[in-house]
Amino acid sequence: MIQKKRPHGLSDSQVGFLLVVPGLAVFAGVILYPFISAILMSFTDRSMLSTASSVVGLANYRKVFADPYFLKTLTTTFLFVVFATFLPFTLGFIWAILLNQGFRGSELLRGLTLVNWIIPGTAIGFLWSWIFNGQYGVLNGLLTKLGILEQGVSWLGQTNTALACVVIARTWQMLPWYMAFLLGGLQGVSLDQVEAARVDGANNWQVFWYMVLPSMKTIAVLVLILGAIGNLQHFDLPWTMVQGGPARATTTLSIEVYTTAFKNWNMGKAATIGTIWAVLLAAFSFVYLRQVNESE
Amino acid sequence: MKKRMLALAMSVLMAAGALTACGGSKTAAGGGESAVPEAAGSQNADAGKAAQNGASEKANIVWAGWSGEEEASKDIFQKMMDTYRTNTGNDVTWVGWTWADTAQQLLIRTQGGEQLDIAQVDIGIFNTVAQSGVLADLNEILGADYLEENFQESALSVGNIDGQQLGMPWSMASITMVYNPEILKQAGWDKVPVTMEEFEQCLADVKALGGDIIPYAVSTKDATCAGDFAPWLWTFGGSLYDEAGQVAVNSPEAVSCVQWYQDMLGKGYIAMDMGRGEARQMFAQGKVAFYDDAVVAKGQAVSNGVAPENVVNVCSAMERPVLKAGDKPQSTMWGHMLVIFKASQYKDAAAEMAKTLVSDEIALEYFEKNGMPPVTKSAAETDQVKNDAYLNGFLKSTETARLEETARMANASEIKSIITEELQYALLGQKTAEQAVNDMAARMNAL
Repeated sequence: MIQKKRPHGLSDSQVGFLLVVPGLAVFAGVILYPFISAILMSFTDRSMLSTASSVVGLANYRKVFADPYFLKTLTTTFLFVVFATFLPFTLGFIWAILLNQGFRGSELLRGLTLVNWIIPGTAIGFLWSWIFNGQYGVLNGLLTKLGILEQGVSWLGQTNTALACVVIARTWQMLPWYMAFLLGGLQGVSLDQVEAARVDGANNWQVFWYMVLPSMKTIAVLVLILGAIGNLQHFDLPWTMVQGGPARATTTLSIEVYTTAFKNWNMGKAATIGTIWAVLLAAFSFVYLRQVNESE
Repeated sequence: MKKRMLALAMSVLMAAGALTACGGSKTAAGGGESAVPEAAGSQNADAGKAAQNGASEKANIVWAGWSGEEEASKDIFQKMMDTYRTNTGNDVTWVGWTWADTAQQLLIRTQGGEQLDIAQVDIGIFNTVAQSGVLADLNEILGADYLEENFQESALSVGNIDGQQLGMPWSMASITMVYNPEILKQAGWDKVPVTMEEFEQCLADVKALGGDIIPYAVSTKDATCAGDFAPWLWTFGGSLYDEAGQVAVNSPEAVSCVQWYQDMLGKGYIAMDMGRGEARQMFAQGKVAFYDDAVVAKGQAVSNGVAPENVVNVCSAMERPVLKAGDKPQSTMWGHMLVIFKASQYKDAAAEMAKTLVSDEIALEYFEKNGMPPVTKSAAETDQVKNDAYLNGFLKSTETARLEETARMANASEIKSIITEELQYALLGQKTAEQAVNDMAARMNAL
């Protein structure tokens, strides 16, 4: 292809490159340098208590993979990602379908639903901590008043309920996000085809299963992948509600990195966990981007 | 193929974005500290240079800590700063966080080169900050004579590491048990329990009162859990380390202690998901009979409307019950110290601030409002301090108080996390007491 020369003597591709340079410089300084620095740090014994450090090779990686508690962290992260993605997705889908019916007040309801998503994560964390508090929580108060419970349950103090509480809070926070995306997708479903199917005798379930769902496949997959990436990175709620406890029941990778770096002062080990975390994220991102490319 | 390559490259970039937070950014500082202008460090560095050059410009020092963030202390902290401004003509800016975030924030700020001149640290985090090598020797700034003249040697020794006076005592006593005399009276107890047997009976009597009173709000979560566990471990005759410094927590005594915790939880005398913050709040509302705290418990009561002179009626200190009569009651040394940073351009101005904070006028008002016992010889000798019924309860426990076993360890926070987690495993029935203490020992040995 012949490159068109501009009056200043630069080709299109040269101008394009010059336009990209500032962005690349910012990317290199803000993302690339800390990224490489973190990977390099994972091979050192860097501590917050000292500016000096030495290279320890793969010692941090060996230590992390030999730690049985790290495997539990990976399992907890996996469970959190799965439940905190599929639960709000399912509820968000149902809510989107309801709002898509266009009944009176549905637009107001749509706006109100978005409020959850606007509230800062830490505020949501404290709000749900109060709801689930074992001593003076709203949930216990309600359940004991209704006679369902004889005495309060320490929802956040039990390993079998703490993660569920965090997932519920996360669901409440993210439901509007899923709803907004899926509602957009639903509005793209052909109403003519739906009408035609109904004329042919299809019931609601058949319309949903054979017409709406296939039309929504691309957006649903993208939303699920993006949601999973967000949950894999999520920190606010498990930290503000339970600080990763009790007995590590809510310690996800994000909390493990934070406590290792800023409570145990071990920056080298924190960078190691961070690198493993980044590899997992890269896998999700790869699937997401491939999906985007295919949909295009 | 091209699309796949592009997707691969993009996913690496996205992962890079995620890992960026772990990178070596020297200015990364989280937390919710009150605002100090970003440029304050460089501005003040310039001002500091001017001061060094002999200019008589006023200094603007940065004072950091956590107590000034607490509602109960805000007024007195404002007065402290106003007094300093009036007395010296200098200015002071407060930078605060929660207690739990203080060590982390101090380390991040000092490593990031941000201005820090003077800070409040407690005994638990003092050594961690000192180990990072950022603290100035106060013998050189305040002078050994000033320190010896104003403080008891025992108080100074807490802030002395290898002959360097890295911390100046500000307030010292112990963390011991606090009780609500009114609840005990309702439960039929006119005096506090002395032995464990009496203590358990008292807890049973409080529990029998019904309602939503928690008999003993011992901490079962966060950084305070391991702190509350230690004196009970000592009470049972155990310890985290032996005299040779070897891990010794996997002992029959520690097993008994953990089993006692399990028993208390099973009987509903203690509760899960209980930290110091929750315990204080609920105690102030009359919903807790006993919990562990330092003298700062008074501030919470006062801020809840109790007159300072009446605090002792609803919040009194007691010695921790002992295994058998005649044993030594256990408690943990507690205290706040003031430290000055090596990198400070205003060490002398910071030293003036430290002197202001321990002056009789300020220290006695801080004591009256918040119960913080003064440590200078002159203030401690006043009738106001000597005759204070509330403080005397704490001072009695302080006579036998011990420094936390991890207090001189740089990785104290990590050790406490291990203790908390393993205790929680045992309390939640996921491990036996034996397994929990064995795993505690194994993890502590692996550090």
